Amino acid sequence: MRSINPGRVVAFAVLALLSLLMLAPFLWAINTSFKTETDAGASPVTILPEGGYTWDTYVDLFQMGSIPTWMINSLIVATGVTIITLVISALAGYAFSRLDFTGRKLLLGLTVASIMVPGTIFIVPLFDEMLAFNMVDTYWGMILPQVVAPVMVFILKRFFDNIPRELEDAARVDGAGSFRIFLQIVLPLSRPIIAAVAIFTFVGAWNNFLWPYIVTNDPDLMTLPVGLETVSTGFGVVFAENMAKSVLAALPLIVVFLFFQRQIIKGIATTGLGGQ
Amino acid sequence: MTSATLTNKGATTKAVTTRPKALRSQSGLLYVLPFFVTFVLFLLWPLIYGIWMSFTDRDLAAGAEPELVGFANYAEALTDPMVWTTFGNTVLFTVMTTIPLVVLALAAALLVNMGLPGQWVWRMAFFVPYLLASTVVSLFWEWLYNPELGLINSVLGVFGIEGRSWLQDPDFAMAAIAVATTWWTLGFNFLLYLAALQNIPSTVYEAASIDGAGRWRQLFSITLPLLRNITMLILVLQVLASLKVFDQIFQMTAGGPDDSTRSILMYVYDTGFTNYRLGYASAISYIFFAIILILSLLQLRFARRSDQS
Amino acid sequence: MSKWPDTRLSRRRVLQAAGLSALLAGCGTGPAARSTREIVFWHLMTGGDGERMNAIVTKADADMPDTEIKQVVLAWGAPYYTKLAMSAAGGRAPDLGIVHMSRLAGYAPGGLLDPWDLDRLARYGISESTFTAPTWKSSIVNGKVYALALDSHTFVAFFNTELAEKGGLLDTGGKLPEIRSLDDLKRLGREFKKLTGHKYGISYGFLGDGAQLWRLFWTFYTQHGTTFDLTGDRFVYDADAFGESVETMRSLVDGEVASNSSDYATASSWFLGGDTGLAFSGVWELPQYQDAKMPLGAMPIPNLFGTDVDSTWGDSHTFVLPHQDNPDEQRRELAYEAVSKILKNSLPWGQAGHTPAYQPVVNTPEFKALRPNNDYAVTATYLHYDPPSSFTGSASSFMDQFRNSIQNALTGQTSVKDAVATFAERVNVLMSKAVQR
Repeated sequence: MRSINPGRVVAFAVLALLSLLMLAPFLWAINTSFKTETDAGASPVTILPEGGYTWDTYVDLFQMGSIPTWMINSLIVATGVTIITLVISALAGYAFSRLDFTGRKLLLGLTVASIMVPGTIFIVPLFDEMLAFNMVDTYWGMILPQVVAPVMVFILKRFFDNIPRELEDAARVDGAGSFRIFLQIVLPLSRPIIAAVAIFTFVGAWNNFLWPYIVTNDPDLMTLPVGLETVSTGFGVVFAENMAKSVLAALPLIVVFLFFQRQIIKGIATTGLGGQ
Repeated sequence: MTSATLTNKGATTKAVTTRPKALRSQSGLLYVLPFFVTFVLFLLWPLIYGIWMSFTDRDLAAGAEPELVGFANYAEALTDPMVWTTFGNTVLFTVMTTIPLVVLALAAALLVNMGLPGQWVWRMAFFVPYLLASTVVSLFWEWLYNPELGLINSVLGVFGIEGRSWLQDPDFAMAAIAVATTWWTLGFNFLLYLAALQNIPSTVYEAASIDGAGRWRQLFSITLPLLRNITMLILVLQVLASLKVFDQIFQMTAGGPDDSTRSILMYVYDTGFTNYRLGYASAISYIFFAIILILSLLQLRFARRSDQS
Repeated sequence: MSKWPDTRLSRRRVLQAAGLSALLAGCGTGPAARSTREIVFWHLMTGGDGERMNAIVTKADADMPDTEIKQVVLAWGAPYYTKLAMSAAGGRAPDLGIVHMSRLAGYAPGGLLDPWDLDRLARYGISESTFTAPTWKSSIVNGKVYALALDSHTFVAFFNTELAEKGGLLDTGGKLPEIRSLDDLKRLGREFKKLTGHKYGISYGFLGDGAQLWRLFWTFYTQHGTTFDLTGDRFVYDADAFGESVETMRSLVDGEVASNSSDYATASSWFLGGDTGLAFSGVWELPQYQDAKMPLGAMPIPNLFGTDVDSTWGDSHTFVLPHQDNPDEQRRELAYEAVSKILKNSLPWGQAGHTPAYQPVVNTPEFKALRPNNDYAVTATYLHYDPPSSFTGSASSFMDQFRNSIQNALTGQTSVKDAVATFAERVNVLMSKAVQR
């Protein structure tokens, strides 16, 4: 530990205050979620509820059953998006990095240029296309439009570029084809960037709202953020219930974060350099 | 899997820093195929198809085939006051969020990077909101902003300040959403800054210390100049992200009060899906796309120029 | 032939191949394929409404062997209507839906709904004579019946009978004294305020809520015996009645008698907690108050303008057939049967505050015995629906514009005159931007 000097004490105080401000919405939401609706709606506002804390709101929510369904849908969609994005982006990134083929320049240029295209602007034609493909209200309809990530292709390509070629030479002498080199040499060496892309993609897909919202109408298919917004569980005074729903929805990623803090932070820091 | 035809030429590159020469192999097309199939289907085709739609009167509800209407949608959009109102709102939101999201993120990263005890807590506090879905952020802040029962007005009341109906007041609603958004996404920029700060070799500071430069001198003459590139990048990303704002506005105010928070993407959504006019909505999308494109090019240009200087 | 191809099955297979089999098997939540004996019914009833809807649907379901009516409950508001339209456009519309009567004009003409067949309805005992004249009349668009009303629900005044009694405000019949003007109303509000010691005496939540603003406004406005005309090129309205109605609302929410910054939920929770004595709200709030064992009275909103016109804002939940490209005949028949069963069993729906639309139910002694429901049931005979157009009705952009323009007058940020002018201007824009069919 370094010596204590006044500047550091002030910095510590500022940091503590800022952190408290950042955490306050969570704390307030958790506090509200354990109150009865009457206490949550009491004015003037008090921190401690008159009628004591209760689990009831959470129990009710679980009995209604929608939230577990939405969590599973979110998991299916986010996992699907992550796997497909990784596979297609890594393959393309590898080809751009290591192989020279007809049209390489054009396709790479197209990929890089499209990094700047904000896909969300085209929700209207995309929805019309989904109508034509009969993909409205399907998992594929949610997943596929989310897997196109030119920026990930670019990030992976750049990482592959920096893997020394010498490592592959030996394998090549042994007669390994480009796909085997990709699988057995390049991919294992790229674990950190793969993890980073996976984490970044997963968080994005888990939390994505607009597209899944547009393409699903059947509540049994909705992801967590969409279901919370679209499907009603209460009526009238639902302050505690809204907060309990929010806390439940926030929990999975926060728990994951607490376990994989280092990897997630590193992942976002590396891929975020080109992220959305 | 098809085996690649090997030529020795490409395999001989050495240095990591120079761009490795690629191996001549048509199998590369197979590798990029899955990506480009999805790319064409879900990015390129909607982009092209949307152009066609923007020249029709495509109606979400009507079974009838859409008819070509020429430039009518574009003419209508350019004279539609709501297009300009929502565009103005979007720019306002972008300014209101980009500045704090850069300044506060930098400040937080600098503070955390001082190596004060409690690193784990600081990182979590700043970053955890970024892990929330927009829906959750909206529910949290609607509750905080509740004029009669919310935490914010209660706390203000303790200090004798009379609170407002933040989200229902046309003068404050956009700012209220910007505050919530800053809280939500600050952690992302914070991490980028933190990573950049940690990449600055400590030898640089040691040399400066030997030269007798104090902490503040070091901050202004070493740290900040070294952060210029990352700041440029964060700015570009932030502006692009803010221009596309939809979720939290849709959820918290639905564009109100008095259209003071309606963003351009929300107007596209409302026009297409609530008022059924898909063709007109597409035309608005393209005008917006053109604006973003021009902005991106300008930013790129600006970034290049400042790189050279 | 099933309209539901095996995409769900193959989707499941592919996901399993992708390594998610354990997940799917463990939770078994792949959406089941729809059988021909299942009909999917979308509605927006939650809370007390939802429970009662569930009860009558379950009863109808029990009367229909081998059939399952699957309820899908979406959040009330614009999302519901947008979702219903998008699903009808997407070709996977539910078999049966609920649409507010006030939204019918935005749905039926665009081909988002299929009409009800009168002969088929007659076989199930449903005809013009089983509804009140105004309700039936509003169900018809371009000569065809698109909506079968379940109820009518109006805006009324609830009051806390215990408080009123304590203050000696009730007459021998348990009714509040007659209110003939805004002053009468505010005097009553002050009495309640005195009794509870709370900040306000009357609950009226409107903040950020176009629907709540509109309901009270439309009540006041139509009490002037006039209406809106949105059928021509320009918006036609009675400027004096408009101004007086908004002025009355503004004077009511003076920050003394009623809050000028309470939203729906806040105002409702005050009334529920006995802090305020009177609440302007929709009849659908009744179950929530009754569940809380409140001493509850209710009455129609009195005419404050001396015009002698009985009127109130009202709407109806109606059953509709969302458009399907190739409807499955068997499932469609089940939809007719289900609606007839639900209508005939709609007494519990009446207990939820709404007045049933199906006249044979209204005429039962059981319904007439319901209190305080019967005290305001008369409003069903003179309610005014929203002016029909593709952009008006429940949770429409018209409501948003109403809030956007008029709320500022109530909170004192603009003058009533400016607010009305702004609104008129915006309605003209809405009229010019509406879809042309």
